[in-house]
Amino acid sequence: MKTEFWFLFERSEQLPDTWVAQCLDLDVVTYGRSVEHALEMVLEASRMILDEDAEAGLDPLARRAPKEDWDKLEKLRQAPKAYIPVGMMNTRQDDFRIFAVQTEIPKVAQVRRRPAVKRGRVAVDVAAAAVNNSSYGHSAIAL
Amino acid sequence: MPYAVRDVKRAAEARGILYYPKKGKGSHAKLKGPAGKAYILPSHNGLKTEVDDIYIRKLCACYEWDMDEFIADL
Repeated sequence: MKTEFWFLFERSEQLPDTWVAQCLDLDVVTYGRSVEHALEMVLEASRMILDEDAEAGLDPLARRAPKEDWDKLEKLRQAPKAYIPVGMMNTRQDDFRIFAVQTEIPKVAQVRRRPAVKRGRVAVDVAAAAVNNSSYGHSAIAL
Repeated sequence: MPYAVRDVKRAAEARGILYYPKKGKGSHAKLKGPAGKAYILPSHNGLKTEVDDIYIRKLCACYEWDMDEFIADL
């Protein structure tokens, strides 16, 4: 079973202050008001798809995004100056418009393990988990 | 242009798709087709949530709908 998935984040061209987040492997799209929020949202949406398809007996990987979406990722991967430390994403969000992260999709229970914690803190935790699982040496790739 | 999730829900239901509201502290509702194929609907702000063209394109691709026809129903 595939354990790591590619996520692409782009600034919305139509919704101000919004990031469009897509799981390329599952072709799931959702939104967030910040990078951290978008990451939290796309992990939740992806987990829901995995659980729904498992229940329905469907192969979630059959949902794979079309080639033009994967081409965006390839463009990121081939741009040598596109790598930035994930730790700088919070402070440099205004400097880029698209980035990608490869990570595992946590169980919903893991995302919300501490319901007493405020939402913002949970979002940071999820982002940190994604960063730690990045296959790019703790870096996301961005343009 | 952005579209309200309320309108997406209505247009999807008109095509025989079932709508399941978000659960608990979740931020996503779901749509489910007759064959059990689910699609996730952003619902951060409930039915007031707005989505843009890319979401409509993905939704239409998932259920093999004509995007122009779907947008005309929004």
